[in-house]
Amino acid sequence: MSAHAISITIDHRSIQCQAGQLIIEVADQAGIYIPRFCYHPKLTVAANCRMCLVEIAKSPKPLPACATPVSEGMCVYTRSRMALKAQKAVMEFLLINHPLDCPICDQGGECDLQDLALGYGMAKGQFDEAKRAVEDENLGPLVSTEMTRCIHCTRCVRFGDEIAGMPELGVMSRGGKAYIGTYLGTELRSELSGNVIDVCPVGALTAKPSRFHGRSWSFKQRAQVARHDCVGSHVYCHVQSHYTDAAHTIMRVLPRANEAVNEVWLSDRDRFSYEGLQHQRLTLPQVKRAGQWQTVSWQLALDLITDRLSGLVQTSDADQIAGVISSNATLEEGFLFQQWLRTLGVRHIDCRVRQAGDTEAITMSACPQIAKTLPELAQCSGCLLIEAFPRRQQPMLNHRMRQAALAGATVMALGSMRQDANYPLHVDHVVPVSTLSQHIAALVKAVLSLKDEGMPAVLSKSLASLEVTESIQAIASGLIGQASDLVILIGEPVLRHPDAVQIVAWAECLANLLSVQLSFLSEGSNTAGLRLSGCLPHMGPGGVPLSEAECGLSARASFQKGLKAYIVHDVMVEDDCMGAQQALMALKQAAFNVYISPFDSAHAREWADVMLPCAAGYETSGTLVNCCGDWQTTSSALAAADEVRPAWKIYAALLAWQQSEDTMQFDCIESVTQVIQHATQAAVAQGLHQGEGLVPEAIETTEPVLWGVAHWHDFRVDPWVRQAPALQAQHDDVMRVRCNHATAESSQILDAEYVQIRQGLTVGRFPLVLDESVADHTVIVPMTCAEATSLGLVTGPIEMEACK
Amino acid sequence: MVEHLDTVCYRFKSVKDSWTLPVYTEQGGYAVWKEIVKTAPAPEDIIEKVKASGLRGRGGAGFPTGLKWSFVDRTAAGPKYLVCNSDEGEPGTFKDREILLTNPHQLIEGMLIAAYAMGMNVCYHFLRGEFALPFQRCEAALAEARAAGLVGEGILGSKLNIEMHNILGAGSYIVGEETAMLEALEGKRAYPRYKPPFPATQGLYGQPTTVNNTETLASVPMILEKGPEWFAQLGTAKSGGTKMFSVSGHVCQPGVFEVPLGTSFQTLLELSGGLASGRSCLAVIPGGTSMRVVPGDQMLSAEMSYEGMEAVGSAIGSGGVIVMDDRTDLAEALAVMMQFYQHESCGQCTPCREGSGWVSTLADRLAQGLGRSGDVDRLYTVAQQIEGRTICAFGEAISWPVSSFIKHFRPQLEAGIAPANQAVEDGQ
Amino acid sequence: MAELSDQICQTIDTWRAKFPNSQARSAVLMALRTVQDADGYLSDEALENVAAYLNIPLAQVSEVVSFYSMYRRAPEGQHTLAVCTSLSCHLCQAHGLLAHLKTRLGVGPGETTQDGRFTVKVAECLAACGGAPAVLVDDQHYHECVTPAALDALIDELSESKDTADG
Repeated sequence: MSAHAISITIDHRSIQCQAGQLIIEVADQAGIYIPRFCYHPKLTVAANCRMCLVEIAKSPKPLPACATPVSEGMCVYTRSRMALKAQKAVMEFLLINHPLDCPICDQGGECDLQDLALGYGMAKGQFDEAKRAVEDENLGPLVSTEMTRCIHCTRCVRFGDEIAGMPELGVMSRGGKAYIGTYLGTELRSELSGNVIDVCPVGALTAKPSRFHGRSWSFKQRAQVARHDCVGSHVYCHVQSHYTDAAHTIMRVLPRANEAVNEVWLSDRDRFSYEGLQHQRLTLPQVKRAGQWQTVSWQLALDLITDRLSGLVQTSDADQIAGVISSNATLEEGFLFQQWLRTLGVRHIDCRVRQAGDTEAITMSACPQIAKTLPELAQCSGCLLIEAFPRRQQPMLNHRMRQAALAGATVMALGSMRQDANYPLHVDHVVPVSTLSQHIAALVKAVLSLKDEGMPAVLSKSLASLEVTESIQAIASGLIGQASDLVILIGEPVLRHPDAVQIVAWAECLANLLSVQLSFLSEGSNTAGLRLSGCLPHMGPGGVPLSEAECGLSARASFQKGLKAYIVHDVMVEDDCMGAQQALMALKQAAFNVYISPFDSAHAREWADVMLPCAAGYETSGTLVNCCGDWQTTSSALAAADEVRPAWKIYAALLAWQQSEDTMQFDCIESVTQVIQHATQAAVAQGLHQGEGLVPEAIETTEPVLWGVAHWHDFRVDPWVRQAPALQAQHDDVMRVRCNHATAESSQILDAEYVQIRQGLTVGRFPLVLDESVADHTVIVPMTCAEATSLGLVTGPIEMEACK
Repeated sequence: MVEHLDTVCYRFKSVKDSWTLPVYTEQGGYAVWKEIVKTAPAPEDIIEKVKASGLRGRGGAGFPTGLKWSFVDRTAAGPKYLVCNSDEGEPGTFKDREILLTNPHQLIEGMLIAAYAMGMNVCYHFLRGEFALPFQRCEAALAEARAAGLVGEGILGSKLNIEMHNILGAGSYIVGEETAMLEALEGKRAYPRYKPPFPATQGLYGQPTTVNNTETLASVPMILEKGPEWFAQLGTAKSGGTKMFSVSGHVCQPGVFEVPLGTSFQTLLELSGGLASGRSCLAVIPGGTSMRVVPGDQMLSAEMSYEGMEAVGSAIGSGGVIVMDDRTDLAEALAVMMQFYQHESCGQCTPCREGSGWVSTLADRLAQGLGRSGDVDRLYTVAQQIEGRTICAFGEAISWPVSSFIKHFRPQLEAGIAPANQAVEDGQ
Repeated sequence: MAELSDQICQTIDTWRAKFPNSQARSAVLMALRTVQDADGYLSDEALENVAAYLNIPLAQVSEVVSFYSMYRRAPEGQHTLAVCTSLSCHLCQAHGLLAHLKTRLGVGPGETTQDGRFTVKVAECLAACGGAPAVLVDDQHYHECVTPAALDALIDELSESKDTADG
């Protein structure tokens, strides 16, 4: 398709464009609006609505602007008699079977049919017959259907096929009886299903959680960033602005177009989690006195904390205090948190609550980012996923993987579960989770032999006795010969693995052999940012490595040790930690605990001494650093209620209290951001972000061992999502232990409905489901339920037996 | 009698077992194909001959066949496909079925020649789902041809590979639209595609494809055997060759008659036994119900050719000639036709999906004598609103019958307005 | 979930072999027909089985099955009698045949006789206009120039067939 410049006229206006472009594209770029329904810039052309018919000189019939390519000298008329007649005729046909639902239709006020009927339709129609009606089906708790309103533009069908990679909706029946649905009455399961609400130009597909809750014209739109994964999709929060009791509530969340991050799409999790902000909120500062919780003033609460902690430092040691912070905290929250604690002399500060072992070496070696921008990812020629499952965990990143795969990229995966990808995989190699590091090392060995450059002495001893299987060989062949745009992606579950350092060390070795940089997916939405805030025991603000004297313990290590005081920010210890039992025990035996969170927690009420309510999610202004290293700063979408305060202010206040300052050193959030920026820039300039690289240890092929994997389902991934009722309704069956048939057989649990999992002294009882996508000797244990808390699993060896 | 009656595709009408290989070869069949395989003539020459013959698409569109074949880039990378459209479904048309039953080998030979000329290696023969017996005959014929080395790999010991498959449809009229047929072959709903791009550049599986009608392809062996001039001169200057006309309705001996284009309608009527005694010709639809109706008296002086039909405001179309005598209730006839289109609309584009039902409702009401005041005008307006605005010619297939019925037979339709509503009509 | 029989799978495979390797979807029309010929109709399960066997999304199978009119989603009578009601057959009194069937069998279009033996249907143009009025029997056999008497004879013949309606 030649892309040479040509000149056409639209409505007598001369316009420069490129041969092969569609008329509608050229018109849109020139600011000339042609009415349309079925055309969508991200979907293939359907040309079925016929609303965009325009007159073209020398053509006896009007032609669709969305399907007609421009050619040199073409004369297009969008407002001629022929065009206007066609528009009116098509609009009349669209309305004849369309129900007069506007007063009860959520789309009213933001409806393409309303707008175009007003702008391009006739004043009066002549249809006086019975209208056809369509029975609605239940697509699940997220998408509401009123299919009588459907105008059959097929955007939702094309979306499922082309973007979601999972056709769930189709056009059924024929002619005037045609309708869109699932036919057999199934619910939508795609992780991107909510986008059909956006693409539907009428009120046929609308958002179920917000149905009938408000009219779009009474919403205020505020730009924000989603907080459930390391991609940080751009969103708009629509906040009810006046009139009703729901004032200052987020009514719904929509994608905010951004070609660099999420294009025009949004995952269901990001779209529907907002409801979670309304449930189980901590609203007042409280202090436990004689076993009873009492509401106190902020002044009193901050005084108490300052006194108790200072006292502990004096009588004992600052090393008896640990600060644990959620990986969803903003840059500013994280910085002030560690600044306050470090001012106190505290060394044990950490955001890595889901790690099974110490991963300092990894953080020293590389930044937790991917080596490409997301648009670049969509154009890579090859990708290897290592224990990464982006389809559900980082859906907008997976969207780019799919684009790459459809363009011919060689995508391969190595992990403890099959991918369930919505694109073709070249190799999907499933290995027991306990042997993951071996297999990466074997991959290095295979690549070395394929490259035929001889093995460096330092490695040959390490790899000598390692077995290379056929699948590993296949992956190695797939990696060789890729250009430098090959991506090796380490999934966030790797960092939770006990052998994380070895896995990454061998992966680094592999990346070096292939002359690429390793890419990392990270926990939560701001792991990359919190490293720059200094929320790590071995790193200070700017991501500057600390001296040995300054380094502290990791979160897990500090729980293992059992200290006298813990400060916990936005972590539901019972649900969100690796080794929850141990953490809870440590907290319960500690002398003084502070819990700062948006959400109330029955467990926290047991171990905490002070509870401070902070703002949640979209209520906070702040910066998150995403997996591409982009700093995404937004302002609060709505004020938090009552006595709830933004967390950054709480820590700024605590810092001021600690320093006995009358005024806060940081009185506006921008000043905080700036400090971190300067520190980061300085660190980068000094090359402090360039790691020395990890040295892999010798490794050999060993027998796999039965391990349990602590797994956070994508809809259970943080406290906020867990409170969102619509999302939870869609996935109400995830709290089951999963293993494959072979594993079940060797553990003698084949016919069991329930299994008991034991690890050391702790035990948990779970319902079982057999799942062939799980590797041998691997048991996926669902976190965030009471059973998981009582087991307190640390990914690693387990015992498993059937029980009643 | 008519000269050159049943001499091209229908030439074995009365030959016993004409669908078998021995009988076909005995009659001289496959001589052209064998010669082509042996001498490997320039494919361009074959296309030139087809052009010179004046052969036009016999399925209904009437596009010059040689020209259509020349659109395919023989050197384009990847597979190229020939599709034979035997989804005969245009009401009033039943001639392709006759070819499939009496002369499937000539069709196979035509397909092989076409594939050779366009550099194609795979042919799909798509038959409508109801054609159980024709499918059986075509499968049997294909098996015979394959066994004789005429189809498949290494044809007759040469390096030529042309594979052929018969496929059955599953009940749909619109699948007969060429791009809808490609969709069906791809395993999808039979939705016509918007054009451009055309199948010649982007057809089956996105590859260069030509779709031709049964009769078009079956005509090719004779064109090459006897020469394009022979074929062209059978017809008129603008309509070369012969056409199989399916004559049905109020005639005494309905049937298929393959006559030279240019034959008068009178002759065709006589061939089909004429009208019943005492009856006069009220209206004729000459090209399948999708074409405009012609008043009987005009038709009686018309010539059956592309230009002859244009002259009376209609078209040859599929050559499905439906004769209606003076006892016909025209409002009912129109309603029956509109019901067909409502049922067969694929539903893809707005004007047809919504308009076909509306038109059918109006026509039904008039047919039942329950018409509301203004229904005839409404019917006309709605039909006009559909025309020219759809993805495929189905839009015209709805609007042409309606507008032509109203143009020529308005009073009969207006008679369908309910008496209670008549007064207002009269007052206008 | 009962799976497709080996025989059906083999038949589907022969259809699949007629299309390029990467185009399993092309076989869906014939795959559905194959299962329908064996079972008499297409159940929800059958659709799922075909989708699984061809490894294509269920939605795509559903789209096809609901579009083409020869697919049956519910069991019909042992024999189907489809009377063409398009223009030429209409001009030759097709509605008379339907009326006759109503009298003889007691059922109208879309209905099945109580004994389960006959389902009456209407068909669109069968391309048998030369033999109008035409009736398609069991989706396969063309009967042309059909009169009420011919219908009676046909019904008698089919009623005597060995398969029992409730066999």
